[in-house]
Amino acid sequence: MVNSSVIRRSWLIVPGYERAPIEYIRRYLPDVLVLDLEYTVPPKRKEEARANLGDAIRGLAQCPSEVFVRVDWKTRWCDVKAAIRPGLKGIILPGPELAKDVTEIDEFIADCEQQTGVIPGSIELALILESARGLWNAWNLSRASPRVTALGLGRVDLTMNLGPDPQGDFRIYPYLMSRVLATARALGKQPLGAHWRRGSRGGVDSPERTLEAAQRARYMGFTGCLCAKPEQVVPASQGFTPTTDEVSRLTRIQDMFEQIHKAGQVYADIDGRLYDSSKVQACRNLLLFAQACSRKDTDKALYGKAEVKQ
Amino acid sequence: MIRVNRSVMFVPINNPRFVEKAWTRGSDAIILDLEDSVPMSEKEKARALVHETIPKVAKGGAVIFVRINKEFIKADLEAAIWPGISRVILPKAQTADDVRLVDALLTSLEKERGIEVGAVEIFPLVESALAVANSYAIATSSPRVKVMPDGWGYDTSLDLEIEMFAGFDQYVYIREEPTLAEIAAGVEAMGGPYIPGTTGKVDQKEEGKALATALHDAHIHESIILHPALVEPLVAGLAPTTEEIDWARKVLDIYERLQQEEESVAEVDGKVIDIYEYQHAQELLEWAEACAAKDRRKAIAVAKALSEQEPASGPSVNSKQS
Repeated sequence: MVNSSVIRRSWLIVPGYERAPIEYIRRYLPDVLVLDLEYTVPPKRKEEARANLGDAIRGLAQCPSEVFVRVDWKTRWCDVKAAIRPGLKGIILPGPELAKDVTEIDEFIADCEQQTGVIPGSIELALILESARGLWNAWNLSRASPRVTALGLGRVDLTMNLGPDPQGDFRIYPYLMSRVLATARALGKQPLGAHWRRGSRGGVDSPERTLEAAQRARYMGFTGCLCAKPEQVVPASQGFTPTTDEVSRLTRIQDMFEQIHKAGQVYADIDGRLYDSSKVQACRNLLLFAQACSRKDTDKALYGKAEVKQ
Repeated sequence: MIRVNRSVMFVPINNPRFVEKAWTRGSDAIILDLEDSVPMSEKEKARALVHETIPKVAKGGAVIFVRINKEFIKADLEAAIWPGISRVILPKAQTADDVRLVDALLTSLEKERGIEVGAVEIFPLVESALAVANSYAIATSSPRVKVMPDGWGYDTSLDLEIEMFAGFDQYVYIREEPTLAEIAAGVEAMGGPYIPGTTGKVDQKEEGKALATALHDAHIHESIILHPALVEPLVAGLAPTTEEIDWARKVLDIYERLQQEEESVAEVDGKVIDIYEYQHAQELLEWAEACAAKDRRKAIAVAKALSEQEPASGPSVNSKQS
């Protein structure tokens, strides 16, 4: 089932030390802005990045992108502590392997919420699975805290050293995607990931390949992915959005089915395909999702324009 | 030490011709087979051959494994576990208990026969639906399990009524689920990727090359083979190329410089260099070194065997050793 209330297709990762992350929103309009304390921040700038989060999150108060912080597994406690404050939507936690990893973070977040006056239980958790152990335990991890709202497949091609197979997929990667998808959907979490293939360095890939990876991932059931480069935001959002062709086809199916349904028939033959009410329901869901995407994009575009005028 | 078993070649122990020639094939590892190669009526005779066969097939520097019968675990191990055997292939492992039984028997045989306790590995074959379902339990059943295959193969196909060579990948779950379980358990997963167009022929050099390329690309270091024609493509194809080695050295260089500057990412020749590439480069260089060392050991063994051999009486060595 598509949840049309939350549109989080592109998650742009920006180094946590950036003084004006708002610029990234104005220019690239990601659905989610991720202030990073992990990969993009070299060791010598970690402290600076943590100290910068307060101003950064305050500065993003009125923007149409939701704000997450990605913490570093190795320094997750002080990272989480530095991140939690009003305005923060959630934490991206890469690398959990056991349910206990998640419950411990959950409890720690609760303490931080209390200390900073953030509504208790409001900080979300997006789990990014990056190891075989984490993937093996995906189900238990996702159930370990009610804060978990998203489950993602991380850089497993790199962390698990999965080379490509003759078809161009990284070894067992489609299976891992399926596993994450089924787990996420079964538990009502957003499935995050893109279908990266041979020759790709996923998070830092070109806009063209990002579009392909996102489109394929959408057809596989995913609804968003992380972007390490700003240039990936537009193709990622686009790839996870139904195309205009799809929308007009779906609209046509919906309209034709309604007419046929009114005429008392249960099946409709539309363009050589047989539709029944459940198939048409799937079309309606997708249309609702497309409409929500379009509303989100309109909001962001208005914001972008208003900001430029100032 | 990194184990280098690029080609793991089956040798039917009951066939003297194959046994005599086995050391000349250049394989990294040889499996003395007591299972499918041996008819039921000859099991006892085959068992009795293991002890004297080990030095014969090891002459070319290969490490020697034995495949036992699931039905005769005790008798086979009694007959087969001698110094020189470094791995037991356990067919049709169904549960963790199957592996634990072999583990316990190995421990007592090792003590009895002067082998370091724990030295002999167990390689459980995943050959049934039950084994696929139990793959995590099997992978974690004993510290002797270091490497494991996936569920692809004739026996699983039989168990699940799968047509093996249908021209498409009908093994997704039974290959990938054990693979994930094994990696999660800290065991090396040596199951290969799906290769389109496989006909089931085991003696084709070209298919051997395709197999080696596919395994190498997928970063898999080991393959079991049924025919000596596949030894050379695998031994050559699973070792890193000089281009890969050069690039890995460059990555180490650049990344170490980055670290000195307390940076973590750089882009060189359009390629990202970071902690992941650094780790891969390190692994690749270690693997390259291990392969080269194995090749040297084999070359020395072959030279020694040839010098001890009476002129013109033995088989000629037809594989390249460098």
